[in-house]
Amino acid sequence: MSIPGHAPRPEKPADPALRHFAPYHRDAGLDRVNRLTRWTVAGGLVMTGGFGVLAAHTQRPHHTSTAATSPRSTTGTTSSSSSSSTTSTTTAPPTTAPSDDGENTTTAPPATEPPTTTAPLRPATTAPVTTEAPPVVTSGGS
Amino acid sequence: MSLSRHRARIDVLGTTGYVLASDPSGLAVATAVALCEIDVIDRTCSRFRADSDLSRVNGAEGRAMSVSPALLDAVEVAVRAARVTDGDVDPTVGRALRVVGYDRDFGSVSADGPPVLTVSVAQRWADISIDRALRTVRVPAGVALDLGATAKALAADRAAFAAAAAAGCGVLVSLGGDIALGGEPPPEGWPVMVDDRQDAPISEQGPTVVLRTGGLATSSTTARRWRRGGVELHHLIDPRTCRPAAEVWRTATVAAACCVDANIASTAAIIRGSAAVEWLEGLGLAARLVAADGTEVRIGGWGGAREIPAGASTS
Repeated sequence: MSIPGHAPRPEKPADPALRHFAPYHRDAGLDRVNRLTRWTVAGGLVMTGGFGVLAAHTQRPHHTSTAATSPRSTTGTTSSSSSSSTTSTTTAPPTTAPSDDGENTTTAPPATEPPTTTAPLRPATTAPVTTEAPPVVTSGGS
Repeated sequence: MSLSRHRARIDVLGTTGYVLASDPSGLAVATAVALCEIDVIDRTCSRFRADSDLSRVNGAEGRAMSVSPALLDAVEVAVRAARVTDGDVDPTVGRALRVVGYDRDFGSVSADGPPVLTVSVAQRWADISIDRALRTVRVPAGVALDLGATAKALAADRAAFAAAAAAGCGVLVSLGGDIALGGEPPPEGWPVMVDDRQDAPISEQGPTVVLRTGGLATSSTTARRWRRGGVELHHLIDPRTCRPAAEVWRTATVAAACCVDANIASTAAIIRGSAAVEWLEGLGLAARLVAADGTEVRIGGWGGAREIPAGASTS
């Protein structure tokens, strides 16, 4: 049976005398090259996907099951009435420091991931400042 | 070029949202990634989808249910919200919401109907069991979770973070007025108008503030209202009475380090009534509260002097 898009594997000649026939060896060799190429391409795709997922995970803040050791981390226990509990560490968000002229200088701006712990509510590093600039969105009840 | 041109509208989670990118070339990627993150929360945390993890947990009659990591995160955030607000923002008000009439997507909720009963099943957040190792969540039998107060903000935070990382520029994600920022903001920051309602027309005359980091959330009793037995109801439930909270404040807007924290504080402010002023000040949170009579109170560096409306009473 032939599969669409795939060349059939060359059949071995029935007559043993013809097994040294050059066209058979040529077709068999091409078939091996063809299969090798397909496996190489498939392997490359799998590795590309794997590295992509790995890269995506390295972009996220770490969320581990160990207690906090850094002063930039918040730690807590999500407890319940049962025996289930979780201690976790959430990497603290980057900060924005006000400069001397009152303008804000962004020092480490990546987004903030919310803590999944019992950490207290954290204020923004800079309070909202009134502006005359035209707004781009509205914050209101919905 | 105006930042508002780098904006994509998204209709998600039963509300209107926007994705903005500081670099217009990053908007398409940012929007696609944000939509993926929001979809994860919608598929797991909606109490109106029969196939969501939350619906399975609510229908488990007290049994532990295996759930996705996204729901584990969302329930942890909800329990934290209850803990840090002394139970004001309580995820176990799901049944109370259903009883008062909010039992389906809000667009399908009847505008009027017969009087509703009062239930007393809430304040059970401390009985929620979360097992990270087994990836299970259990709520007591008869209790239903509603993650609406925090899941939308969680979705905004996750979407902003992932979109900024993927697009390599500053991103603002707004979901029904809950705003999360990710990445490097534009030099002029993100100008955001604050109003009672998220669907208010954008106007340069409205109060507008600049955001550069973190998140901003507004809770309001002026949105999602309906009537039962001639009584006007809204969606912000006081877990102590299992009824809509007293309307000392009609709108509370809070800025915080992330959208989840801002949302927790703005929701709690509505529930707490006039006691919210001292509570927010103690936390160092910048906030703008609007009393039922329209009086505005600014807290924690939002600007302006602290004023307590004469008609405000302790809840």
